[in-house]
Amino acid sequence: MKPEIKPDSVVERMVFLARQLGSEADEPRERLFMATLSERVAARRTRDVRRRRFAAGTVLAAACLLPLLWLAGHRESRLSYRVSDGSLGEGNIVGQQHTSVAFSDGSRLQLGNGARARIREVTAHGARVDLVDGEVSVDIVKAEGNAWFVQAGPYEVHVIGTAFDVRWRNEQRRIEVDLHRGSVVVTGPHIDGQLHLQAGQHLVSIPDAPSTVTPIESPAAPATATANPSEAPKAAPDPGDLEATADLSVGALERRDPSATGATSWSRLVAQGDFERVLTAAQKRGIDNVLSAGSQTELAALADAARYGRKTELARRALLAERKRFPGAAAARGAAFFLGGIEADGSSAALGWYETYLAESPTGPYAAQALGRRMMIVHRRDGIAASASLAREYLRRFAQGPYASAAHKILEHSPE
Amino acid sequence: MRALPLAFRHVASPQLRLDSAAGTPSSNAPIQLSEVSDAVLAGELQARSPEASRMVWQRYSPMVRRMLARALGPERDVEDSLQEVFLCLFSKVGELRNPAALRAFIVSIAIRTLRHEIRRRKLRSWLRLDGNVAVEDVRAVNPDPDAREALVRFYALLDRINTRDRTVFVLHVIEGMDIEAIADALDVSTPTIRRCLGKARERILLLAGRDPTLVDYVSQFDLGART
Repeated sequence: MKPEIKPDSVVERMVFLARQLGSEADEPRERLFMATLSERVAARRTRDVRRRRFAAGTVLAAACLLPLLWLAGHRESRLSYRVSDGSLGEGNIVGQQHTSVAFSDGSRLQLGNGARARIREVTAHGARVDLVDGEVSVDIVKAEGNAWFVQAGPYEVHVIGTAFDVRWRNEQRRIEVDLHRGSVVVTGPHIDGQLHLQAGQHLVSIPDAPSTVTPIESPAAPATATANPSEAPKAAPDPGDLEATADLSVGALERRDPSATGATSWSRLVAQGDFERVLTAAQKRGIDNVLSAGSQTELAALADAARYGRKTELARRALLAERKRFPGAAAARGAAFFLGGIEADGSSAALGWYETYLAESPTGPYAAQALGRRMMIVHRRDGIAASASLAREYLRRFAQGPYASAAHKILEHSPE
Repeated sequence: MRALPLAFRHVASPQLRLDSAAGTPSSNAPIQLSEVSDAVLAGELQARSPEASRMVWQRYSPMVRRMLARALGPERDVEDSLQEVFLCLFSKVGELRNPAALRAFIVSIAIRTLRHEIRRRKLRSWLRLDGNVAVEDVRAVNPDPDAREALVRFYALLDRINTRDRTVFVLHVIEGMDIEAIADALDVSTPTIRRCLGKARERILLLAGRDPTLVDYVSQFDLGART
């Protein structure tokens, strides 16, 4: 079973890799740039002057159009609202049995009996409600540009599109929020920065005690979280985020390069992340045909596309074919490393392939990774003592390698 | 693996602090531009000395190239953007009021160019015009193909956050620039930069934690419960 990996660890590792970026200078292009520098700077200055003139003309035209645009912008009407079954006292709406405030966009507030609230400001995209005391149930219709705020004493709840109850006990300076749907951002005393509440969470914040977030279903549960955005327990993700994730994946796979054909373009498509097109092209030609007659470049590209596209069996076949048909090639030796990667994590098969790779290419381009992975597998299967010698070898050969910290950790705990 | 707290470590790069030491031009003796301070170099540049242009390129192009490469990611050819930064510098160096602040001036141009490039690439991506990425660069990034793939995925995630937040995240967390230096370069307040950083971190943590390729890649380095 794979260990659970924290997002922090993922980002930390990616930042580590990103810091290694810094492309080499392209000397011919540098020389050409320096040789033509004076002409290009002169051309640019001329262009800048033209642009400035154009910008001045545009500003003039805009100045003429501005009054019209201003009028158009102010035609956007503010929301309206209607209070039902409530009464007014000292400028506040005072809640009775079924007091509600219905807004023209469909959003709705329901005041608890005795609750006092004031609609301080209404805009085209929301409203600012002051909860003076008591409980209000809020149901906001989600819309782009929403700007809804509930102010309870020193606390502010920023609403995006959601349903929640907020209780404010003015005398006790105590706020409680039950979030039923969507998400809100709460700021105020005893809250470090902004607290993002997720659906199903219950917040309590009172003076002289840390704010707590608990599941709504069990408000009395002992497990509490400090009101820190990073530590608030996460409930179900917002459906919008899931949609966004799906969109990207599809988008990444739909990048198109109509000029791409042949083996080189398979490699190119793989480099661009367009694995699906490589797999489709291979299927059109016939997988068996590609495996038995394709070039070494095609086999490598197909293996890459299959690995990244999670077609493990096809990747295995392509890599094995590469090793069988081009046994002397460096890429075929590299295939052993990739075969290790597609076998089950920590399995004997994976270990065997890494050992094969290290035996065939002791100083190959993947030697650091192969040795590191071998060390990790031995560690997971047989423990610290068995992996200590590999850790030592790893540090001797790759002191700055990606598994160096793991190797140090193994040696720290090693009995020797 | 030890998890980082929300505040990622970053390595402060001394060369990216914007308080460049001001030197004073000395007497009438011939000056070797390779040894002069930024203030003198900027003065020569404003006098349109070709030698000064070459010197500024030699002194600062590696820093700008690295900054662009780290900010744009492994799939990107940074040479055009790099040249754009220096063309802009040579055209606008007359506007530099404090010659000792040459480095800061270059960094601010680099960041502006970077943001423009990110926006341009987003637009091209939306319009499906981004088929011509520099493939060779991807291959040269890292000998480990899984690391390469993970890095490409990571930058694809960065493409999904807004340009300013991404720029701030990359410059502070990856490139190691001070918050204050970024605020100066972007001409916004330090709290604004902190807010951008917070938003970017939150979004990146969410996206990275959900990405199976990244999680799979990082899980290789986890020792699990045995230690």
